[in-house]
Amino acid sequence: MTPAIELRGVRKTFGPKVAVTGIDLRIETGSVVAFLGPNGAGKTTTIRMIMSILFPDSGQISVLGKASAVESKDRIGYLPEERGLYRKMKVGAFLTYMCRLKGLPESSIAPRVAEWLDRVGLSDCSKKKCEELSKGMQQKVGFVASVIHEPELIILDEPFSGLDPVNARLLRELIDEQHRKGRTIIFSTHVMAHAEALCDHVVMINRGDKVLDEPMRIIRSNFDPRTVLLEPVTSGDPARQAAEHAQQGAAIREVPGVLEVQPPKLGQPAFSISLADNADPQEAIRRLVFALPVRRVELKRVRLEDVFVRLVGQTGGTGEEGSPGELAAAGSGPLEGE
Amino acid sequence: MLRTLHVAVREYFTTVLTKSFIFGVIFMPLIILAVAFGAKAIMGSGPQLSGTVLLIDRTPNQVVAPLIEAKFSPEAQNAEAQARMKAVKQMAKDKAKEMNLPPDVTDAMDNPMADMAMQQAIAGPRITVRRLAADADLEAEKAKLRPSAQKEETDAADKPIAVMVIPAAAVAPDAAGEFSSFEMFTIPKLDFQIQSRMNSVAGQSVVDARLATSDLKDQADRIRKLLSQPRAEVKSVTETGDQTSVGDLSIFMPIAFMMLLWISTFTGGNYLLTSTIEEKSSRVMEVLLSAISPTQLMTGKILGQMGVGLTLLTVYAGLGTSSLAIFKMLHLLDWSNLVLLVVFFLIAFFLIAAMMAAIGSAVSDMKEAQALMTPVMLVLLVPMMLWLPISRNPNGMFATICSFVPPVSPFVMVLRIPAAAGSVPVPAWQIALSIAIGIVSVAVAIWAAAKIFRVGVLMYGKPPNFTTLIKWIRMA
Repeated sequence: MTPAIELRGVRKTFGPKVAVTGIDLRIETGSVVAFLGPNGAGKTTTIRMIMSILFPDSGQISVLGKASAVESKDRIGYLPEERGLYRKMKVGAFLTYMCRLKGLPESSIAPRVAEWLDRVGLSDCSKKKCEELSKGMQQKVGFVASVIHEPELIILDEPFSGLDPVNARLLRELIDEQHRKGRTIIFSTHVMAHAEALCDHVVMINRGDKVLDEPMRIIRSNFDPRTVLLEPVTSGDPARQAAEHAQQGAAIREVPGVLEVQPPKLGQPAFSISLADNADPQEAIRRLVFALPVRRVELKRVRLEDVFVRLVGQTGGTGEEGSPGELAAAGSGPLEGE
Repeated sequence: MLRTLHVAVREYFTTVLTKSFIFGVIFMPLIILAVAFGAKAIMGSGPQLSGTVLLIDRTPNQVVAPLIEAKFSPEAQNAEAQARMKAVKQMAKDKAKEMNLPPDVTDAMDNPMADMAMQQAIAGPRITVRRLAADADLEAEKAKLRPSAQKEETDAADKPIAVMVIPAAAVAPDAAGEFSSFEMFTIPKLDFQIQSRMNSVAGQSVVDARLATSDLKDQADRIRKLLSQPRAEVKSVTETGDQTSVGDLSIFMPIAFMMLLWISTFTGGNYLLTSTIEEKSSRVMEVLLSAISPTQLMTGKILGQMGVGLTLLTVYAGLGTSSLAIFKMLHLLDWSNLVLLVVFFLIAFFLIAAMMAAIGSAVSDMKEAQALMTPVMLVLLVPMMLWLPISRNPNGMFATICSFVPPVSPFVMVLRIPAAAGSVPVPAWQIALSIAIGIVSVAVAIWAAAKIFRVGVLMYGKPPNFTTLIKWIRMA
C-alpha cells in the first residue's frame, strides 16, 4: 500500500537556524499519528512542509502519492495551530468560502455547511461573526473548515488547545469517526492523554530531528521494561529503614524471574523490580506477595509522557525555547502533562 | 483560476460592503456636495433683511436727509435690485463666453424662472428711512437699539436697526476748514451687507450734498468724472486672437484627474494592506494557503481591490462628469482622456498594490507597515505637491522626465495630458513610452511582490527592513 505521506531527508533552515535537520518519515494510509515534540522542535515547520506552505531546502516529500501537496490540496484538510478564522466574517459565510476554495461544487456547499454546523452543535451560530464565538466554538469551526470537503488526509495542529472536556471529547469522537472512515489523520499535541487515547502511531521530534517513530503497541512493549512496583509494609522507624530495605531487597531477589531491584527512594516508597524477559509478570507478582508482607504491588504502566520526557530529556531538553525570530510561530503551548 | 476569482470576489465584497467604505467613500462626497449646495441655498435665499434707520440730520436745511431718503425709497431700491441683477447676468454671460460655453447656456439665463431665482439670490437689504427732528435726543434714540428694547418691537420692517447722525460739519467745513464724518450706531451684530450699504449711501449722499452746496455745484458731474479711477480689462494674446480669459476652469482638470487617480489607487491599496495584515495576524493565512497557493491568493486579493479602486473611480468620475454635464461644461472633458485615465489607473494601482501586498505580507501590524511605507509615500507625494508647476508647464523638462519614472509616472501623466490639451498636446510617443515603461515596471513589481509575499506571509517576529525584503526576493 502506498503511504499517505513520505518524507525523505527533508531539511529546512531559516537563515542560520536549522529548523528540521533531515527527517525520514513514512505515514501509512488510514493511520492516526500523533506528532509530539517540545516547543520549537520543528513540528509546525514539518507540517507546513507537508502542506507545501513552506518548501524544504532539500529532500523529497510525497503526499497522497503526489510529488507535493500542491497537487492534492483538495484531498487534504488542515487545521493550523491558531484558529485561523476571519474575525469579521460570519461562520456560515466563512465555511462556504472555504468550500469554494477547496473546489467543491457550488450546489453541494449549502447543505454540507448546515449539516456540519449541526453536527458540532453550532447550527444557531451560522449568522454570527467568528469573533463573537468562544475559543472552543472557534476551534470547532476551524475543525469543520478542515474536514468539510471530506479529505483523505487530515492534519491538525494542536486541535485540543482551548477545548473544555466536553468539547475535547466531541472532537475526539469526530476524529475517531474520520479514522473509521479510513482517513489518515496526523495531529500534534502536548496533552499525552489525547495522544494515547487516539493514536495508533507516534512520531516524536526534538531539535528538528526525529527521535521516535513507532506504532503505539510497540512503544508500550519497547518502553515497558517489565517493571513491578512493590511497596512493602515497614515499621516506619527511620533508624531501622536502611536495614529493613536491605532485608526486603534480599527477599525480593530470591523470587524467580527477578532481574534487578531498585530500592525505594524519596517520593517513591516502592521497590522498582525489573523482570527477566521470559518471566510472566502475573506469576512474579503472585510470588512476590508470598515472599514478603506488602502494602501495594502493581505492574508499572508506561505512559507516553514518560517516554516523551525520557527521549527529550536525553537529548538535552527543548533547547530552543524562547528563541525569538522567524520560528516564533512554530512554537506551541507550554509543555504540559495531564 | 476559479479559486483566484473566489478570493477576488470575497476581497471585493468584504471591502465594499463594510459600513466604513459605504459611508466614508460613497456617502462622504455626496454629503460634501449636499453641504456645499445646502450652504449656498441658506446663504442665497435667507430671510430678506429689513429694518428702519433713524436719521438725525443736523446739517443746515437738512440737505443730506432727502438724498438718503431718495436712495432708500422703495422705487429706488427696486431699480437698484434690477440693475444689480442685470449686471450679474451680464457678468455671467461674459464669463460663459470666455469659457467657451455653448450659447444655450447663456440663453437659459434669460428665462423668467432664472430671473426669479436670481432675484431671490441677489436681492439686497430692504431699508426704510425715518427722519427725526434735527434736535432729537441721540441718547434716547440709541436706547431703542439695545437688545432689551428690541424685543418689544413686532414688525420687522419697523424695527430700528441703526441711528445715523449727520453733523453740520459733514457738509459745511468747520472753522479750520475740515469736513467731519457722519456717525452711525447700529444694533449689535447687524448684517454686514446692510452696514456697508448704509455706509456707502450715506457717504455718497454727504459728498453729493457737499458738491451741491459748494461753489462748484455746476461742475459736479465733471468733477465726478475726473475723479473716477479707470481700470483696464486684461487680455491675453493667443493664437486665435486676443482673449479676455482670466480664470479658466480647465486649470482644475489636471488636478481633478490626479486626485481621482490618487484616491482610487490608494483606497484600494490601503484596503489590500490592512486585509493582508489582518489575514496574517489572525493566522487565517495558513488555512487559505492549505487550499490555494500564495500566488493565487495574492493575485485574487489584488484583483479584488482593483475592483474596489475601479468602483471608486467610476463613482467619482461619474459624479464629476455628471456635474460637468449639469453645468454644461462637458466640453472641458476630453473623452479619450478618460480612457487614458483608466489605463494609468491600472498601472498606478498594480504598482501600489504590489507594494502594499509585499509590505502587508512582510509585517505583523500597521505600525511596522508605516515604517516601510514612508519612503515610498514620500516619492509618491512629489506629483501631488508639484501639481501646479507641472500642470502650468506640462511639457517642461521636469514633467517630461517624471512621466517615465515609475511609480510617479502615471500620476504625472494624468496631470500632463489634460493640462497640455489647451496648448501643445503631450506627444503620443511620450504617452506610449510612459505606458510601456509602466507595464514593464508593473510586471517587475508583481514578480518581486509575489516572491516577498510567499516568504513573508509565514514570517512572524522581527519586522523586516528593505535589505531583508531584497534577500527574500533572491531566496524564494
